Amino acid sequence: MNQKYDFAAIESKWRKIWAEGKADKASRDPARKKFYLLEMFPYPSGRIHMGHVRNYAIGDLLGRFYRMNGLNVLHPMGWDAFGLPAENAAIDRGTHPAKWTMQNIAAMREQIKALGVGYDWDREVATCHPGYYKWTQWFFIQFLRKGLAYRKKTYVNWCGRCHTVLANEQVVDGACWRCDTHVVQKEMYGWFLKITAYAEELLADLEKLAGNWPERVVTMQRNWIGKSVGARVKFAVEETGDVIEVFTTRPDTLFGATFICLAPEHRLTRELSAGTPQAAKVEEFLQLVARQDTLARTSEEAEKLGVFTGRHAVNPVNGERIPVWSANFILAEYGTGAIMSVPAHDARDFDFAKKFGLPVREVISQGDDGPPDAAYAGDGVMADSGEFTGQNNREAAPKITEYLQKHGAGEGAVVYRLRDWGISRQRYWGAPIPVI
Amino acid sequence: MVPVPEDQLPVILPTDANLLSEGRSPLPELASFLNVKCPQCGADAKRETDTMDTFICSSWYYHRFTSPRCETAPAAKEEINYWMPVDKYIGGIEHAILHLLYARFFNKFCRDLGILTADEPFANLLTQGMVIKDGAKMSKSKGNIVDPDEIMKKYGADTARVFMLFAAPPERDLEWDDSGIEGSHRFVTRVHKLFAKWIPELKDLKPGDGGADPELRRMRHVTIKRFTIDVRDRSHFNTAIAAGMEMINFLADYKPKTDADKTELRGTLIDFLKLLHPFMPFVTQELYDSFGHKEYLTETAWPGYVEEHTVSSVQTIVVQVMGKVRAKLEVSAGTPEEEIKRLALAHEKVVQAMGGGSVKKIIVVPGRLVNIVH
Repeated sequence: MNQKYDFAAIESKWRKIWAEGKADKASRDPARKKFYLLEMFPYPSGRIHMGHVRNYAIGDLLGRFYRMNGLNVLHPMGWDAFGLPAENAAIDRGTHPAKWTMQNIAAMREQIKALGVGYDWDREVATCHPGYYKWTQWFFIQFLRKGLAYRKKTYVNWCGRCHTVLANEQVVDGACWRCDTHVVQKEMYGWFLKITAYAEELLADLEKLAGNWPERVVTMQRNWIGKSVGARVKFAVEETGDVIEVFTTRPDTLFGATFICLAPEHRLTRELSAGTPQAAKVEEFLQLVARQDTLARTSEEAEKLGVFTGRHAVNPVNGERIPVWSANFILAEYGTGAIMSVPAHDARDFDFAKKFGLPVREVISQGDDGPPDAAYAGDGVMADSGEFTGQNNREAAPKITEYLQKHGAGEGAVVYRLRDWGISRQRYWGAPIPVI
Repeated sequence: MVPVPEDQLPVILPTDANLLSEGRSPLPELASFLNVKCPQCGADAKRETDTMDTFICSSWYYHRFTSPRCETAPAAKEEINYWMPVDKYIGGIEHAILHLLYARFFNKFCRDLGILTADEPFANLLTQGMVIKDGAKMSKSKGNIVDPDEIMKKYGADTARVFMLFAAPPERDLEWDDSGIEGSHRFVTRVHKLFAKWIPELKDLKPGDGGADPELRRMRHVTIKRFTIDVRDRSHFNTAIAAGMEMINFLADYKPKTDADKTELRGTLIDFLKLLHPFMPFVTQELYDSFGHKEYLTETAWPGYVEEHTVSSVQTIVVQVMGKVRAKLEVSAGTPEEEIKRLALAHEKVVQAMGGGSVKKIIVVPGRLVNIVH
């Protein structure tokens, strides 16, 4: 019995014995209760850092604990091995991303083994291995078959520093999640996966996770999916007969709509103004907005810019003729790319109406008199709302939706904040999209 | 545009491509990759040169782990349905939306393809905090990196692991602290020292049955209970280690008086090794081996505890006379109330305080207090 604590000798001795004896091998055994334990697999960036050590120490603690408690534990490890850093590092160092990646994997594997984490190394995978990405490509083809993958020309988030497209989820406060560079909008062809087809289930099943996932994560996902229930309303353009579709969560405020706002990128913005005295002003406005990025356009503090298109639309519930505007804070890819503006009951619309001298009409009364000096978004009694006047606004909302449906001017609708997942990266070190 | 036929997968990413310095992909200019025949009509055609977001690669890797070498499917049915869902998934909060939403989407798509039956991929999620130093996340640009290799070289992997588990509960950020790693190393070293002292003497003792020092038995069961609850129910690994440190303090001074004590000590030390194993696997396995055991500690059963052995057998009871503390009694647990009253009234200090008065009322709060009114 060595009285001195010679950790180097002890650790190298057991590392060898455990590896040779495959002490951590996991096998399916239907007679035993299983426990699948997993730490998020790392990107092979070079060397492990203390965050990894912490991650794997926690994982291995639980792995050993549950094995000693009789569970059949699966605890594997692998490498998230495709991606930009490999390309950038390879360019900087004059090597190849594959070589750089494999060297890093070899080094990090040894470091993790030195930590004594009880992984079943026979199950190791690397996503850049053809035996792995064969199936990544196979999945893409299944998405294509099911109509859940498509290609379209669109405005994408572009990081100039990484020379790549970013998904909405990868833009954090207007900047690239990886390098913090300001993200710009660029029009190009790209592939998309229809994650929106699963929006409702992704939202509903969060209930199953509550209690077993941190509340914060569940809330963030719920907000990201962002379900809104309301109505789609059709406004016909008086002079041209075009139909502008808007989505609103507040059909009860429809009688208070005093103008329409289109996204600058909306097809009709330019079309409607053509031939009106506003055409030149609209063109000037579109060029100004094209230079603004999404964040600058939509943040609360951002200056609200707008222009009258020269046309008017008809409110389907009261036949009122209201002006059609375009505003910088409306985004083409959200909802229908157009909104009905109800300045009396929406703060942003209120600011916009004040700035451009547009009318404000209160249709939900909060019980006091006089013209509103701020938007009122709460509940109350309907005013100035035709046959619905005098009703409670919450009760009237579904009736107004019903009315729209009956008159072919709209319908109940659900929209999600979640967008389809842009998966094109236009870079080299990734799985090729298997299309000819 | 047509998909590549499935039997022609994978579309190999050519590794002989020369990277372009401005970061553009070389694939559109690589004729050997680009030019193909249309799989449907045989005419000359061009390959798509775009590549996928790597978040796709990581959206299904947990499926692949269930049968990583399967050649006929992303994962073999009996394997994936036995292992999925992941029972415990551990990672950073920065993936709250990105990876975790994409993976949920992929899993549901896979379920609809009939690849597996689970609706959700990750039954339980633990989001660990960051490791920070000098108030900021460790990063090269801030120059506040601590290199795991250096720590392992200087202190060993067991110490590095203990520190990571001791310094903060898993969800919280962990502030790196050089004196903290020293403290963890002292703890691991003390474990080794304690066992090195006792193993030669206790190694060949046979397990006995009872009659040993009740305090030693109590510490054994209390420590098992604390480790079990902290790890299994609370994920508070730091407080489990604190319990281990208390146990080391106790055992360092412990002197067995009888053979039964020695047998109990041997059993206690072996249980203690099992409790410590998930925290410091190497040194505990070595010490277990020194006891003459051949199996891996992961193959042994986690020790159980008996609730009634976790409470102290000796109770201290405060005796009050007219609301004032006058004496303390030491009695063994389970002493009858009448006996406690008799002992209280017979205590010299109590007799003195009562000054010959007769007892009007005497209240006993079991295990804690006697109150006398006269």
